[in-house]
Amino acid sequence: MIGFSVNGKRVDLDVDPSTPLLWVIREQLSLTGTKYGCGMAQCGACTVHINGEAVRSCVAPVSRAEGKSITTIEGLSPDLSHPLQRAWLEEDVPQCGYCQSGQLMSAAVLLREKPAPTDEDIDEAMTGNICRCGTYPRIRRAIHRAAEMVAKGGAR
Amino acid sequence: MKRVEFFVAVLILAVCAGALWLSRPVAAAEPPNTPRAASDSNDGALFTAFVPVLRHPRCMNCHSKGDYPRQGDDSHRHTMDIRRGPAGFGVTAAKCSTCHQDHNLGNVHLPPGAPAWHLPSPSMPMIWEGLTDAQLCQSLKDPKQNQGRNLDQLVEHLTEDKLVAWGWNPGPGRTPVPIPHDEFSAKVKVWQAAGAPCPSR
Amino acid sequence: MIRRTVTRPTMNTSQIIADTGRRNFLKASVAASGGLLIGFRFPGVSAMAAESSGSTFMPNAFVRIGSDERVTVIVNHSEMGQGVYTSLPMLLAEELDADWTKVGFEPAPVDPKYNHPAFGMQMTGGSSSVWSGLEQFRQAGAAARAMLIAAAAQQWNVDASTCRTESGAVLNGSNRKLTYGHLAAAAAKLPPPEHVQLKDPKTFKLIGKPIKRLDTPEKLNGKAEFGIDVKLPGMLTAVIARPPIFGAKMKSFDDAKARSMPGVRKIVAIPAGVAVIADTFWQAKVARDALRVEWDEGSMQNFDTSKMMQGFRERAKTPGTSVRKDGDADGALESAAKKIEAVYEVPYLSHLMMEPLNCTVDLRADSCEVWTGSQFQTIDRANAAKIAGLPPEKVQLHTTFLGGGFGRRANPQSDFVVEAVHVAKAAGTPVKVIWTREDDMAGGWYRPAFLHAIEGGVDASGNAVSWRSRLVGQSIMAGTLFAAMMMKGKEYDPASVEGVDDLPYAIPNVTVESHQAEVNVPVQWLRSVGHSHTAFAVECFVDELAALAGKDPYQFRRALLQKQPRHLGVLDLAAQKAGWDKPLPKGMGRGIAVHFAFGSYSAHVTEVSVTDGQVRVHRMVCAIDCGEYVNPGIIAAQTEGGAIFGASAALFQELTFENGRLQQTNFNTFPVMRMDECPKIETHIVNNQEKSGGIGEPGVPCAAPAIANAIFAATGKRIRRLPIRMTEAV
Repeated sequence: MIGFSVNGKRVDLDVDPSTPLLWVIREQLSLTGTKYGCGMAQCGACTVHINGEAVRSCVAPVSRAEGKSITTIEGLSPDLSHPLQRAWLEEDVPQCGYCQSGQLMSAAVLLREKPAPTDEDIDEAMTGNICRCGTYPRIRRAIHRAAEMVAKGGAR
Repeated sequence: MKRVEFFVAVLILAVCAGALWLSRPVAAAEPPNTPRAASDSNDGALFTAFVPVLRHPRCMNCHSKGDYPRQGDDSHRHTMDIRRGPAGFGVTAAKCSTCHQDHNLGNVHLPPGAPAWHLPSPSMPMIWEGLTDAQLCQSLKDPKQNQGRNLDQLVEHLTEDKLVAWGWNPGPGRTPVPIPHDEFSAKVKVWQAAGAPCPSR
Repeated sequence: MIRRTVTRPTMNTSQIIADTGRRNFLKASVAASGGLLIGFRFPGVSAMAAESSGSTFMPNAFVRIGSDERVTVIVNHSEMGQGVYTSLPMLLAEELDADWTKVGFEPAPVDPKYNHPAFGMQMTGGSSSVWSGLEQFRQAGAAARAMLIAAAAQQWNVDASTCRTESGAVLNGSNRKLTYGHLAAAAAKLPPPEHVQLKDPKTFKLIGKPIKRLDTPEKLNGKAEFGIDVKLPGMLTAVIARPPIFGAKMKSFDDAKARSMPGVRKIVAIPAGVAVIADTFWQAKVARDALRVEWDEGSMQNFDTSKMMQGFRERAKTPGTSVRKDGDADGALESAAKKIEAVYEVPYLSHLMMEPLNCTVDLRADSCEVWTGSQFQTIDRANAAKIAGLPPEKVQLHTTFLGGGFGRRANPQSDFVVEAVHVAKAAGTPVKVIWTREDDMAGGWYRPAFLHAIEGGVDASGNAVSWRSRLVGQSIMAGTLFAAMMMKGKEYDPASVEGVDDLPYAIPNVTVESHQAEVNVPVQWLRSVGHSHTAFAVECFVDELAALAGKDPYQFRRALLQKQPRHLGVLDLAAQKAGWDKPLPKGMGRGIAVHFAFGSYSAHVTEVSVTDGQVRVHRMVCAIDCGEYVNPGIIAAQTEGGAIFGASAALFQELTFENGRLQQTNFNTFPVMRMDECPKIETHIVNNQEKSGGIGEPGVPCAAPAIANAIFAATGKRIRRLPIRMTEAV
């Protein structure tokens, strides 16, 4: 049995510890917002937080989650109220939307550690997340916008 | 008997080191303040005996110039704009642990891993690229450049640290460092026993 | 805004009652929810559509209004990022005078009612969703509005002409108001109008505005359901061991190890390979990797792309099938003051959607349900039915969100659907087939590799006098059910030469010839199709002619486009916004390109620098003229996205084969532009009332030539092969 918490809920699972966390999240826990894109930490679509840090769940064995706190896109906020989600709405970022869970989860770590990120900070944080539709310019704008919201105290 | 073995070993090492020395570009200038006391009669052969490990891409890719790691036997810049970060563990959403585990993954091109996968911190970046053997040797021994390690701690780091040991077991698709681990450890300890002499230039 | 109320389309097709016996334009019925459902037959169907149905009129059904005020627009095109779940509802809601905050969307089930008005089958492609749905969705909204007015007028006992509508309600005088939700049931009992009046565009409240996309919220919290997310009770997951070489046949397989692995339920040979069916994806994948399959490698085992391109080069030296012949290009070349010859080459490309291919099937004795991100519903359903041994009506295909499409999910053979039905037959339970990224990349149906040899000449005054293009490459139509339709009366594939056959430049002598290559690599349309390579060759060569003539590449194009006002319009707009004449720092260069595709005109001015052989794109200024438009926010997004898609291909992407085996496997070897490589992109939209054109694809073609031309401006070196490598520049 492997035990950890997901979006605040405790789970105990009987699962092969070498199974990538991604597939446990998607299949056992039915949290399908976290996406499979490459299986080799190349695209970032599977990004979740383990104890607050961005992790590519497609290459992290579920054993790594033991005793830890996992946050997936479903847990970023209960009601689209995270400043990044609000900024993403305002900038109308997604196209196909498949990569956006991972983009948001990466951006959330960036924003927490650098509340006023520069373009360079954005490059450094977000270059591991591929968007095939090409929403990068809007992602960049939305991150800046979310930072402004936080600075103005307009969001949590 | 033991002494004879030791002598032969030193001799062989000296020859090997000489060959290595010749194959490398001549250093620009002798480093200043080279302590004579720590220079052996074979001019650092005990050190250069294991230097091919340190110079190997498996080690150099994190001990190279710039604020970023490198990848591959060609030591190209790490893709995805990965940075050293404030503590050597990457930045924000692109930390080493975002992709690297504490162990290698089973297939080629999957991120390699070892416990505490990271680069040296920016305050003490331990950049070996561009150093002569003498400079490399000095910098390794210098507590101001080696995270405050004394010689014993340095030797322990070189021979027992799990991240260093990864160089011998870098996972599928990667060339391991050139000298077997036990041989490397023995050479480091021989060097330590001799007072850790550095090459004079 | 409301989210879709159901994540899987549950609308029963029987709710849509098509009254074929009456000549009524519209037909309403009471839906199960008690709301109003407008059935609709669109008169403007093409001859092609009529052929396929045997009838000139095709019933359609596009809107449902609930007593809860919700307006659900049923969309017959797939949402793959291009915004149709917003732009098409906007058209309907505009004419309906709906309250936009109550408007939602639902993917249409497969039904001839939802056929593409121009293509006669249900599909999404060719950058055609909005222009083909323009009348359809507006009329559907206007008809619904008329019936709601009639219902209100009846209740108030007033003349309908005295009523007006506003934001989801019918109003009369200063104090009477009934919302659409209140009127839905009554309106459903009324006959549809014989005729509807569409709004004067001047009164539009939604059309032409950058309305936020309806599908954004659910794409920010993980709720949006893509094909890969579908989960059914008792469902198993399958991964398939696929041939390592195109055309290879499975000889035998050893599953001794795989069979005993945890979670593995069944291992079966199917036409696509050997399917491992397990409880979970990871179990199926690990067991699939443990299979030992022996393949009869077949005729492609020595296939090598470098040898293939060598063959193309030889072939380009001989005349091909004539596509266009104006004047005497060969003669004019001979007498030209200066001439130049260039050979452009582009590789096979993978669509590389972020969501790898997948398909879920629930096959029962007398029914079959399929869930997938399809761009080709009619064909996918028909192909699924064939394998299931059922009539197509017994197959329900549910269109999920598509995690990117770019043409790959419009496969003439429905490869990813057909194999899933085969697996479902063997599984005996609902099953989802997932392709790994590597499976997806190696699975074929690529943008074909092409060679484009061009010779051109200028006279003593620097006027272009001759142009001869010869293209060599595979046809994407040959061998498909579209061949007869698309190649009718032609001895070449129009999709191979589109974008050069209509060369817009005023050059008196133009010859275009096509050589069709026969290679057993499956090829297909990829975003912007033939334009993805013809624009590169044409726009680079125009640049080379300008240099030959000693003229500025922008002014050289201007002079040759005097009779092409819309080309000229975007060209001037991009040049002006980019500051064409402003000097750039040393080491940087500016390139320009203009192209017409899918009914729209696009121009790019791009700034690059080249340092130590590394090309960096700093800025792309895009101008787009797609005629009358619906949502400029989406147009800008598609233009930006198209530019990045084209730049990714230009800078990084190439599929190569050695000994029949694909050499690229994943994003590490077939890279996509990333955040740190993405330039500043500015989009400028031409505002006019010209006929609506497409927007999903027209942004792609100019990217490569504008970058290549900018490299020439920066370095004096020409790029003639993609992806760009400075070591190959000439």
